[in-house]
Amino acid sequence: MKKRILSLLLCLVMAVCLLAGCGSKDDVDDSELMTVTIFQQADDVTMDQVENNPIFQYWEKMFNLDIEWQFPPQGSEQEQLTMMLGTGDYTDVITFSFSTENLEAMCNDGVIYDLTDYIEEYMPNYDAYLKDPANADVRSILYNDAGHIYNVATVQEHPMAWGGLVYRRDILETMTGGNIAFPSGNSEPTTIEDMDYMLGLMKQYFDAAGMAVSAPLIIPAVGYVATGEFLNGFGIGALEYIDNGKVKFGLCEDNFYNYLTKMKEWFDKGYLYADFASRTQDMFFLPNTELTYGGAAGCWYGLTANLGGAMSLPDYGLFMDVQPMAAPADTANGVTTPLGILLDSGRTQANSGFAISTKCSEAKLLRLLKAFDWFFTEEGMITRTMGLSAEQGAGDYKAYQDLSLPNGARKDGTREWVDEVANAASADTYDVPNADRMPGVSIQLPYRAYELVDGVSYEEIGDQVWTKYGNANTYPLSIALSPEDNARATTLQTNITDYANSMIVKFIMGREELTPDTFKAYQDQIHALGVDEYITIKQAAYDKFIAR
Amino acid sequence: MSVKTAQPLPEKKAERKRRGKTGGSWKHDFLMNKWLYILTIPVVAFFLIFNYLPMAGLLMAFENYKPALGLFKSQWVGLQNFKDFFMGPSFWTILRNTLVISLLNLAIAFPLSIIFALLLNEMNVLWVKKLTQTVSYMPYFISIVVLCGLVTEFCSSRGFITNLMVSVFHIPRENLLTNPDYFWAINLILDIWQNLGYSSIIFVAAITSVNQDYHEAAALDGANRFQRVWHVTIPSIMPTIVTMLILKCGTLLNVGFEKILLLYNPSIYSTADVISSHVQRLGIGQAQYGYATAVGLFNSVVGTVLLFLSNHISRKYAETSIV
Amino acid sequence: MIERNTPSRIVFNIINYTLMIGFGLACFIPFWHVLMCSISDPRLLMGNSGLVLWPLGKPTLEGYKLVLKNPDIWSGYLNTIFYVVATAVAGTVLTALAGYLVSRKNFKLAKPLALFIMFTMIFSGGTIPLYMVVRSLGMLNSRWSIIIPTLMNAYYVIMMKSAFEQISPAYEEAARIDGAGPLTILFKVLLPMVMPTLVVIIMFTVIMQWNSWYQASIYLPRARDMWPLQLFMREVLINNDTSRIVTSGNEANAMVNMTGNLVKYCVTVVGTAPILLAYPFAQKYFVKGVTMGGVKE
Repeated sequence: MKKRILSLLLCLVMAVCLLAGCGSKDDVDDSELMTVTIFQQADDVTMDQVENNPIFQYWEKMFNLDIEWQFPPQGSEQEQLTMMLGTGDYTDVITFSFSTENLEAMCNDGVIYDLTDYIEEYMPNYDAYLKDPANADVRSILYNDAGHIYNVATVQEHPMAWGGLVYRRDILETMTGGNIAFPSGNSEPTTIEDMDYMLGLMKQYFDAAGMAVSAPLIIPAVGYVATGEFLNGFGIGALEYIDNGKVKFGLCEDNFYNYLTKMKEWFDKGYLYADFASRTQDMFFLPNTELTYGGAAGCWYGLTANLGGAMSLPDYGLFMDVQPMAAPADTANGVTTPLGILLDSGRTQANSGFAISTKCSEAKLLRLLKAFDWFFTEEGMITRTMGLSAEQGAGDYKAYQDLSLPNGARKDGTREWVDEVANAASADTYDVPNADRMPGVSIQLPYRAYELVDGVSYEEIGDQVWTKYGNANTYPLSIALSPEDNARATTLQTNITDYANSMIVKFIMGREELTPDTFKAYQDQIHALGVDEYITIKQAAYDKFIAR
Repeated sequence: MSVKTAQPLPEKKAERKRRGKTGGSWKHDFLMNKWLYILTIPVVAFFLIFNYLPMAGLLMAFENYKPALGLFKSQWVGLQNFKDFFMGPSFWTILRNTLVISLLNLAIAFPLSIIFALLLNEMNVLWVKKLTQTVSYMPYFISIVVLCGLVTEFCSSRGFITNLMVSVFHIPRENLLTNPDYFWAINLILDIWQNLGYSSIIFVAAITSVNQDYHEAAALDGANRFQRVWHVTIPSIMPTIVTMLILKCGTLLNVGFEKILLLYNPSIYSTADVISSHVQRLGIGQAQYGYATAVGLFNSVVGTVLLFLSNHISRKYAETSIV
Repeated sequence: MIERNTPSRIVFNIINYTLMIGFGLACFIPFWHVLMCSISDPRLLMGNSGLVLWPLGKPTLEGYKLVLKNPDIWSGYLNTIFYVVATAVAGTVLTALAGYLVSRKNFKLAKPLALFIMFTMIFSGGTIPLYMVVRSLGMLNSRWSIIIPTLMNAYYVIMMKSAFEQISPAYEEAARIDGAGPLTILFKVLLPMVMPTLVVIIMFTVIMQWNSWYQASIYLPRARDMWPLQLFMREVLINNDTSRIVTSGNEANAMVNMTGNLVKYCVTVVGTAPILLAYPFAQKYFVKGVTMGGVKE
């Protein structure tokens, strides 16, 4: 009896939301249950989290779908995808967001559907979203030069920088008794002279603390941060970047000499982490978590999650105040404003979201498109990002029962958390489910109590500082080269960076003498390795991208 | 020397002579060895299905292989992939590094694993012997990631090994893994330490199967311990040694990338970059199947030549061969 | 045999034992280090850069709790044991058979067969074509895909061959005169005589299968319940990779990061301890092999 009431209730809920959410597109028949296989990257999601995800369950019921996820073992994602493509065993839906495959080429090879016409006809909400002038940037990334689109994308409503340079302000406070006096006169480090001052203090601090291994400044093994931090302050980027519409390659620009000179000076003074060059197995963003988390580092490439007191360990008597900083300008050599280069240059990626494989029948395709379209309605967006509300029957789902949230995670019809979630003291208290494995729009989440310090969130503070100089000089990540160009560019880039990286480290560590002459020889070698051809390829692609 | 007569070799020679006489027709052979022919079927079937059938994949070496197009529809590019490999700016460096690392292993680590097995055999206190053998292959089981993490740590400018080297050999203090001069030695030592116990297992097994009669006969002839090892044990395990040596020659260019990738860094590319790590690095940006297959095929061809060469030499001089 | 303890012998023994025990220690210490790290205080482990010979801080089983909490670990253990046993048994029989065939002197097919097998040692077609073969045999997402393709391998066949070749043909002839067929000769007469090599091959097979995860990651995409231990271990490692934890947004805090570092060591212990403990049993057969190999002529 109880079950029957429950299912009746569910039917009712479904009917309500069908009416409310997606309007009526009766041309697609969804009376029959359809099984859909989806190839998706597992990342940090466990099978349990997927199978008991209330949003997936809700959505599957709404469109009478049965999703069968296929998660490759973690660490073998690209391999599995290759295997699937190489053997023709495609799932109905494929995620390419973690691979470098070119969707246009995939479509030409007959692997996936071209969705251009389908979107206009069967995905009114997605179509409207893409045609909205406010989303012109998204459109330019997703549509290729010929005006085709191949994926139901994942779009960020308001992307935030998630990492950049950070420094330990508590050390400066301690060393100066609270009177930090940066030579530039600013309250935070903004120039290379400020860095000299700051790193000097940090070195004194670590020396006085008698730490066996410590580092005022950590840079990755290759001698520069690949996203361009520090280099931007010298007026260049790391690899390719845009300067007045021209593509340039940072590692062979003249200003790179200034960077190397400074790094060498810092290395000799003991400001730079002495073993930076051998730390290869760490990801390029986090050269040494042992030092940073162990309280033995002063300045590094950090993440939003590091900011404020997040890295303190009161139980162990370790207190850190980590603050974000923008690229410091090399004013001594005439650079007043650093370049604006950011890692994440847009709200979406050309490969993001889902593509539909040709193994999927047309009937299934239409049903799927209709179902995915829901994630582009206002209700779909909110539900996707924040979860179910009481109105949507959240209380019936095990996930919310387990979390003791009978009314779901958010208030009905709004972008607000229910009070329990909004006031949560830590991230672990309510690990509320979301559906960010699905395509659609990720809305800007309202902050929860623990994310705010004095009413401001560190995410916003970090974003403001790290994006201070904008991203006008970024070479857009979403520019897709033709397969041939891509192969050629990859080979050239590998040859160039192999040589450059080994020389950079030698210059900094003093194994190779650094003089204008040796630097000239270094530049000549990079030209000999084909940097000009590389730039030409990238420039052509950029020009086409701009013309869209 | 009288000990020599106790060796199994004379038997082998007799065997070979006899074999020469029985070189009859196939029909005769089939009738003689009907059962052997039948037993051959599953063995051939296995290798045919799981090894020969997939060899069609070697076609990729001559193609601009696109997974989506498959093996037979991808664009044919002839020898382009090979050209890219040979003409690459670092071809000679990586070839040299691969050969040096491989030959050092062959010249030092390989004999050491035999010596280790022999020395182990000389230990009479059984429990110490067993314990030594058991612990000697432990490093083989520790994840390579953890292992290389330890090496990186110990070789850092303030690390345990660096401290030792500075105080004993008075080398300047620096991160050992950023000096190109040290890499080959570090890699070799790590290799020996990690694999010595494991690779000596085969020799330990061979030594245990040496006929004790020969030893006793030699002892009666007044041979001392060393002479017995030299004239009985070593000749008896020679076929195993030669077999392993020939097999090793066949894989001379196959230096695995995993350890190298974890240990090297840009400052020591000049000595640490090998063929496999180079291919791996190139493949990160874009899956270059054709190129990787071409390099693999090149390694295979070189391996074949070396294998048959060493097989030929060993048949001629050591009277052992694998074919 | 009675050994006389001459002075030179004593000197040799001292040197030998010192060397071997020294090497044994060098091999053991890193494992000990991993073991001790796995029960150390995660915070103290973060800043540490030396050898850990004793747990840092108060010993904790936090890391093991985290690893063993995963229910997959147990099914992984069972699967691995199944794969190990199945491959070791079937594989060794087949390898012995193949080695026997190619070592027959008066069998005309022996040499071509040896070449046929050896060729596969050097040339291989890569994973994609092999996958297609496995798929067309209908073995995808089934346990067969882990066992069958690894049953034989050219190296082991060659090793077997060279072991058989060292046995005097007299035994075989004697058995044949007694009316034994080839299989009886192989399994009853010859195999016991190459026991040490056989044990080595079994051991190599066991170790290979114990450590393998790659095959499973390719052939069992939809059969998580069949995954071997190492594949789950790899997921635990990657999931706890410090750099990935930190990037996964909100949850990142210092404590999680430290535990991830600890888990790395626990996974190593959980994944290797059983096989290390099993080794002494295999060792017993080396000794047995001695008596069998030494059959009087």
